Amino acid sequence: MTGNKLLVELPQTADRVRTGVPGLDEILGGGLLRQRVALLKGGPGAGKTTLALQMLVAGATQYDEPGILLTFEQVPSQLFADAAAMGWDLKALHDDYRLRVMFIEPDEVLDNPGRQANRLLVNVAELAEDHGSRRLVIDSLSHLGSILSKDEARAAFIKFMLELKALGLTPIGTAEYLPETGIGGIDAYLVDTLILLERDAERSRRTLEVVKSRGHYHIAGKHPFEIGADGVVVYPHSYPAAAEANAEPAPSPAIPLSSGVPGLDEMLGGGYVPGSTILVAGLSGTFKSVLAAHFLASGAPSTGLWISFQESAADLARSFAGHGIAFADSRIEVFEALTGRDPVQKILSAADDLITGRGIQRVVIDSLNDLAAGLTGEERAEAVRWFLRRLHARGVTVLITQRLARVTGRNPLSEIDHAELADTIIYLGLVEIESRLEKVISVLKHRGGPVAGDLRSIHATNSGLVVSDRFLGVSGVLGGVALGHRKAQIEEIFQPLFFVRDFLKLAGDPGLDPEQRERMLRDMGGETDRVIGLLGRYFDQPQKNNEPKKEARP
Amino acid sequence: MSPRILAIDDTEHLRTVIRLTLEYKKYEVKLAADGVEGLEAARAGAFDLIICDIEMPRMGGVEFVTQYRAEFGPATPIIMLTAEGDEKIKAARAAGATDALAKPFEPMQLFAAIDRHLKERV
Repeated sequence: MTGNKLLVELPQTADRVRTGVPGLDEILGGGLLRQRVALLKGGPGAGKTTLALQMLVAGATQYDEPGILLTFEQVPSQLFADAAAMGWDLKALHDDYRLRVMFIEPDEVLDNPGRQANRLLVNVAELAEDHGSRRLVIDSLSHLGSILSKDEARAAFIKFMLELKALGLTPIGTAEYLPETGIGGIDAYLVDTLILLERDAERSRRTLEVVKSRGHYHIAGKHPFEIGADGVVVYPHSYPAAAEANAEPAPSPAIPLSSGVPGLDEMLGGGYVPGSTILVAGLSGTFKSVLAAHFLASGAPSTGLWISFQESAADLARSFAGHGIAFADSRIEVFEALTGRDPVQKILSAADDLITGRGIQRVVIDSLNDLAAGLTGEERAEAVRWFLRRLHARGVTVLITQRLARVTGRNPLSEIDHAELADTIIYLGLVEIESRLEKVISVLKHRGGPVAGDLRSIHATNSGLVVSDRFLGVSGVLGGVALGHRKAQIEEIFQPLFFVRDFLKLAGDPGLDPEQRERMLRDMGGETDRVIGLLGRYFDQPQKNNEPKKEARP
Repeated sequence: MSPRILAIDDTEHLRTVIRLTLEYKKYEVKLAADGVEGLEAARAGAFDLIICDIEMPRMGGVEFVTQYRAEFGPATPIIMLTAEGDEKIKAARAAGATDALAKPFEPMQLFAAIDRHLKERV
């Protein structure tokens, strides 16, 4: 059976019956209550019988607790064949008395339900005493449904269940879920633990919910589960407080992590904060993924992990090769979560196993949108928060990409989902300059560093992304005070020229103090350099040490 | 004592050019990056003349002029710097701006405007 490493080890206590179903014991706070009645309810095909059978098989094979299956519905050959499909050799377990299968009729349960008078109870008692049977499944109680509506039969049934408990057994029943009676119905108050199984055929999604758990802790809500080759695996949507998950995040070393793009590192005051979450949000085709790949590649020789929902490892390697990023050389591993069908908890759990096992320190999730498919906003936030808590506790730095649907308006933050999850938010957008779309980058939020808030141009070269100096002629675009771009460009170029022209005239004054003339000449030189730098960038000309001077010349 | 001039513009380079220009005339220059900083500077010390951009984040030129006039009255001349054809110049004048110069400005023109308004003030 599949182990589930992410779940904490719970103490094995005598009063709990470990179901052995991955994920379920954690949801139940350790397992079912011993010698109390549990009921699994669900519609046809919800997985009730499989789940109940798995509890018996686990008891027999893992916990030294033999079991008994009382079934009204199946003929032996079919039952054994179905179990064999899950890898369970029911025939061998039956022959060994570790899992006895008994085919019964309703009156066998209800007739003379005293331990001495009822033939079925006599047999069960023998098994319990001679072979140590501890678990008993009745599949399904719905066969008793109409009979149980009669007071007499109901009293007989209660007596039957009491007798089972007195024999040291933990009874587990299955029952059809009838929408018209909800989850209540006749049996609801006879049981101590009620588990509801649901199947959403449209979304190919199964969920399990503990709707009643008398006297014991459980994790509320609907938890996704799957029935695979190893049986049922449940993915709790939130997790008991593991020491590790609750631990303070590992202290961040002072040295920032390079984003792999020097111009961006400068905007970030050195780079990303180790152990933080970075959200890279932008329209399609604005280099979100390339920026993410740079981050992983710059961590080499350490391995980085890329969690991909849309593209295969081969596709990614091909597309990044064009940007000068070689996945293989850069030791980037791709975790393909391509099916779109796996519950997000399963994907994150498996990724977490890999990250922990390999000691990975840099992770990319591409993208938040795909991770969210089929989840509500809150479910997604909860799953991602859990994942981030675990990774941050180990000092892992996580970069998440997010596709934005449209060009942002005044406030790009308002377009970004789950901004609260991120320590650093990078916005990639498009700005129209003279009928041409330019790609721009801005840091909207950055933990542990000042945010310049300016907009810079970003473009691709065959050796990677390049972030240029402050975007030529455009200011205030993100703040919603976009100037006319053309006018702004004219102003940026003509202002130094006007200055130089007028100052040349003034410097010609013979009465000018020589010291002042020298200062004016230096200022004119600075402004001339600035124009050359701007024009050089505008026309893609190489710079010959004529970058515009930074401000504050003496 | 040289006149004190407050220059407000959100573009760093333009602030630098204004400073270099005004320093030639040995004016005492104080720089601010938007209307909010401009008002703070005005509250901290009196100025003989103010040069102010119109389009700025946080607090633009029109709002600055409105608030400045409300707090400090009509005495100090305010020269607006504006992109050509900016409709907001009307609002700035209505709010109490004294004059306007088109950006990019020519230093000689700026000197002429400053001289004129400082003289009128005296």
